Amino acid sequence: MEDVIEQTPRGLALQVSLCLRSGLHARPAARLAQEAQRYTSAIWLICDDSEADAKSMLDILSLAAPGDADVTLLADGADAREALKGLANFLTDLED
Amino acid sequence: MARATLFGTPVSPGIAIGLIRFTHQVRLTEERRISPDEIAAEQEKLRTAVACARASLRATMDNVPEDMAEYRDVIAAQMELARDPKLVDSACALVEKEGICAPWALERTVEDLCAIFRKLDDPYLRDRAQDIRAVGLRLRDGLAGSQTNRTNEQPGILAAEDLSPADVMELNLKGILGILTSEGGPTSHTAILSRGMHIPALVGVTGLLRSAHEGDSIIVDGLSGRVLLGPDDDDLAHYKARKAEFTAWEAHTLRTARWPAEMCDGVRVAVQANLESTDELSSLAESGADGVGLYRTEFAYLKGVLPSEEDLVREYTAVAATAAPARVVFRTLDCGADKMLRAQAALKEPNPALGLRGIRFCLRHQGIFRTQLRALLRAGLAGNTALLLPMISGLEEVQSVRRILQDLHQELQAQGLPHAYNLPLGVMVETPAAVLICDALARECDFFSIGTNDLIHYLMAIDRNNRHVGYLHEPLHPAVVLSLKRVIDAAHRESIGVSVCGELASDPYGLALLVGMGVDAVSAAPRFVPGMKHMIRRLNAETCMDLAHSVLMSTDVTASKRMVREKLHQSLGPELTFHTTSLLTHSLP
Repeated sequence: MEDVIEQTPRGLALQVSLCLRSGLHARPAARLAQEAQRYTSAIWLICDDSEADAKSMLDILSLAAPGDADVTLLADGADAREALKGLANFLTDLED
Repeated sequence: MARATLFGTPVSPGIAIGLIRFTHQVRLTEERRISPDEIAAEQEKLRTAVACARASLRATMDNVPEDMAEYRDVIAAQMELARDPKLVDSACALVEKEGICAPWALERTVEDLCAIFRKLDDPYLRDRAQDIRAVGLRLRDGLAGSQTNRTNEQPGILAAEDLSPADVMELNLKGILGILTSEGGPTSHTAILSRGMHIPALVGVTGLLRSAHEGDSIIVDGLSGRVLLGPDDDDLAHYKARKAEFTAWEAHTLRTARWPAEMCDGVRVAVQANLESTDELSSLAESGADGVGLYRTEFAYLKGVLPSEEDLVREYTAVAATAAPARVVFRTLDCGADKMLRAQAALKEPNPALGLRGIRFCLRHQGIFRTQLRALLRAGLAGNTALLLPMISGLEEVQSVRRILQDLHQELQAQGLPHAYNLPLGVMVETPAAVLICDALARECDFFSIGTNDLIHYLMAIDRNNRHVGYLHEPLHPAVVLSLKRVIDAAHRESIGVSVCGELASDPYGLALLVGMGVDAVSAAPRFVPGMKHMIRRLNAETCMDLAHSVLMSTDVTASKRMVREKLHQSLGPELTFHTTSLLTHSLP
């Protein structure tokens, strides 16, 4: 796993490659949102040029991220580092 | 109320007479301006509704049967949607900003979100608007303080915009006489469930929500696809009689399901069942099917992890043993088009229906294929089994499989694993190439099975998911009819059997035509088997041959349709309308 957390003006960022059969669809999106809500930091998911609130399943869905997309996780807050690590692990293990 | 008729797509046959019940009680949203000191209270109401909706969804989830795990995921997604900040926080913000009551704010938020999703390019995401709508309706009911009348014990005809899996799971099916939805198609949850439960159902009923009101008296005619609102006494008497006729007919076909399908002049046709998984085995005996004409093996492969050889041996042995001594035809893995494995999805083919599917995929990924074939050979001892290869377009494909089978036979022998050798090997005829080389194929294999659905798509060059060319799906097109005849004749010249396992076989008109062309077996969903056997017993082989001959000579689809309708009406009379047809819509009585 490319465990490179970068410091950006908006918070910590981490790149993750998805490995899903059919895109970031309802089931994985629901689980991701559920997972993200465990952290207090504000978390965004960035794919291409659009970004989504990682705690909102609807927002994640509307990214229409393909199954093999490279996405960036962005977190800002007290538990930002844990959030990034946790969610990156979650995303790479995600199966649909 | 005024007498009126609405039309829909019939997805489950039968007739229901009763009072209409809407799944979602509140059909009009309260639109009220509020004063600033009410804001906090309205927002609180919204949050409570969210908590209630989530609690009721969770309770529903616990009731989902073990074998319907995919429903559980859909419900879990709805639970997540119900607390989505985009939905809840936006609605709360709207309450404050616009000074409107909670239901109104919710309605507007839901509408906005649906609008965003409906505009997306991805058809999957466009369909998610339905989920948002379903959650919105649930929250609205929660706000109105009325738990929806899901637990209503009074029997009635259920009407809804659409039924989500969560709604379906909460239904008290005992009290449901019929189902109507204004959205949805033949493959929606509503359709599948209602067919399974033998409840008459129509989907895509236009104008349903506008013209009907809770408690109205209505008639659902799942045979002709009509809904009668505000029926008068004559209508009621007419449909009561029709319902009694249909029930009696259905009971009769079930009682006689085990009788052989022998026509008046002594010609016999085997009527077999198409099965998807071991869950359906229970319906096999009741249906009276002469074995399994098509066992689809894809199910085990769609779970993320590839099944092990032992898993497959267990599955195939159970099927073969249950059906024994009748034959089970196992179709080898046919992924592609609508069902895909990870390895296939990774190819990102722009047109998977014309891509690496069926036997093409199996010969490319021989590891997966060999495991399946080993399991099939080993399970072959448990009963009377045969193998069927999908998507064949050339002779070499059959020869390659024969070589692999020979190889596996030696391998299994060396390992000392008991297995069947020389299982009959059949070819699925579903590509135009296979039709044109059917003579050669008939010499290379032991039987043919014609998959009419795919054959029609490939012959007519239409994409099954493209609505715009749906009108070209025409089973009576001369190209289709001539292809069927060619394949059937080639099989008989080489003395091998030929069966038909597509939708055409369960259609009364298609069935008569196929029988007339001389097919040895037809195969359809277990639900349709008793009716098909009953129909065959009432037909005459000679009449069917005449019919097939006229259709083969015809170059005009409309004329062919008229011919089969008239001929069949002569033989079967009013009973014809008890069969579900997609080929022809029934002419009005």
